Amino acid sequence: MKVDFAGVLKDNQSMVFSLALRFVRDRAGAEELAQDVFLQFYQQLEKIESPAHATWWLRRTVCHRSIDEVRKRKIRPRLGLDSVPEPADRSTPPDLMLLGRIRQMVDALPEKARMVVTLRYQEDLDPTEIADVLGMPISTVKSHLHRSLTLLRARLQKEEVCS
Amino acid sequence: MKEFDDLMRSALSRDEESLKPPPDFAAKVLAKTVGLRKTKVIAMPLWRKPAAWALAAGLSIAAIVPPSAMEYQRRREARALEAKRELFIALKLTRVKLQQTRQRIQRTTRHTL
Repeated sequence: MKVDFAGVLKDNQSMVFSLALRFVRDRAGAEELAQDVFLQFYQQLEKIESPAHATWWLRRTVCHRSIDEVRKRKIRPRLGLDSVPEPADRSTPPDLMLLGRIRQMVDALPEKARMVVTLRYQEDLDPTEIADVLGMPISTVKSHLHRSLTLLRARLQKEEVCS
Repeated sequence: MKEFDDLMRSALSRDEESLKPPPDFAAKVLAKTVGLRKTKVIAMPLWRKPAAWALAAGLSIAAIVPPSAMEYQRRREARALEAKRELFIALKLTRVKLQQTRQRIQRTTRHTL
């Protein structure tokens, strides 16, 4: 066996679970999906060459499974208590509110664009790596990124002007 | 641009508490893999194994086919004996008829001469 399953699980559980949760948006669903991904990985363990290969495999699988899951549900993803925004609190620092608002805007993006943005800023992947993980041309990744960021910036500016 | 990128990184940071998996996540996955290995290697139900199916089919054939084959053979032999007996009777009758015909021809020939 070239990689230790328990070690891979420990190192990657946070990445797999957080990507699933960003998409599925309820903890129970995300946990189920993340567990499935690791079990699928376990069955492919013989084919995994190194810990880096394991991370790449898990990231790729959880991305595709999450997109599929959201599409399968068709309706808006189930909302858990965690996703309900906290009531406005005057003592909350404004940057935290802004960060929360950005997360909501990212959540409203179409699935693929949302995954590209998440992989870029949560996982800190560059466009080439994102193209590899999602199996799409690099030009498409760049286009998703550019359009999404332009949209997010414009919305934020609009909200600032309105407030 | 750099500022906006930093803002995005902060907003989508994985360090956020709510994005962390439950404390027993790894333990649950490990427990399921143990079950998976058992299911795969040891606990395969007998009825799902092709060898079991082949064995069952073989036993069925052994249990059902020989008696019916023996019965078929017995009937064939009985039919053959009956046919043999009928053939002997037919040959006997033919011999008698031929003898009678020959005698009649001889008698007729004598009278005409």
